[in-house]
Amino acid sequence: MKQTIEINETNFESEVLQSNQPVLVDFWAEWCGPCKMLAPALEEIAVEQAGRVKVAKVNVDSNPALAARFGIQSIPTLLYFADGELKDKTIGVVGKRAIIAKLEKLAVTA
Amino acid sequence: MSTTNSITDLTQRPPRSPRVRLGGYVFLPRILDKGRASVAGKIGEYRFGAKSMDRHFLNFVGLEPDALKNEIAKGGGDLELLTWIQANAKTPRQPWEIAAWSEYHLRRTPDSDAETLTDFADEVKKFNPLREDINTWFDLLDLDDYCSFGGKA
Repeated sequence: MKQTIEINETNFESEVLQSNQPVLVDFWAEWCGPCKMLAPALEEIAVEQAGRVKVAKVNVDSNPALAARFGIQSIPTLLYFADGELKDKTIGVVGKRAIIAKLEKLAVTA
Repeated sequence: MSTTNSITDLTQRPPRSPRVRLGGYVFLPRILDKGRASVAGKIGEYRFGAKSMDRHFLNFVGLEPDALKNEIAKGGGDLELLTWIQANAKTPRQPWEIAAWSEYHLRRTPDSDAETLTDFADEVKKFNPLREDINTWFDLLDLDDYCSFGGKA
């Protein structure tokens, strides 16, 4: 069962901005090869960090307004949120360790 | 001189390779060739529209196959059709999206499920069981085109 959560224009506010945990948001699409490469690492992080961090996914085709709101110009793009604010961002495929390092930094400062 | 007939008769020659691009989109020139052939009643063994791989492009830009076919039937060239597609797509795409979509399809392999993998391997075997270099869907389409008109794999 997937541990990542699907985010859309309706639940973005409650699941991301009002979350009391840091949230990693992955902007992706079906037609994006690098997104598919990244997906297993994100699922693993969602399982391993359950209760400490949320891992969320935004399909840019289904949610163009969210993609526009955050100026997404390439995918995969990972946005790191804490306390309702965008704290960090990476573009392209990133290693699991690098993602966890960023999340740990957020958890300390959150 | 009828140049239209010479490029739309897919009973005599294959459509353009799926790797050829128009407006950045891979596959689109092939779709137009098949559409023109379909309009001319010369599509042969090929298929045009939602039941073929064309659906990937049509879904990506948000176009109905019949609408595209109707436009193709007006006889416009590639650039005119691209301009029409850009104006009528329900999901207008940014250059970075087109580039990512094209790159994805250039590299796309039959990775969805075991049955699809088996079907893909069986298709390759029909041409030449030793062709281990055929890995992507575009590899297979190119090979199929080549062999369908007398080429040896």
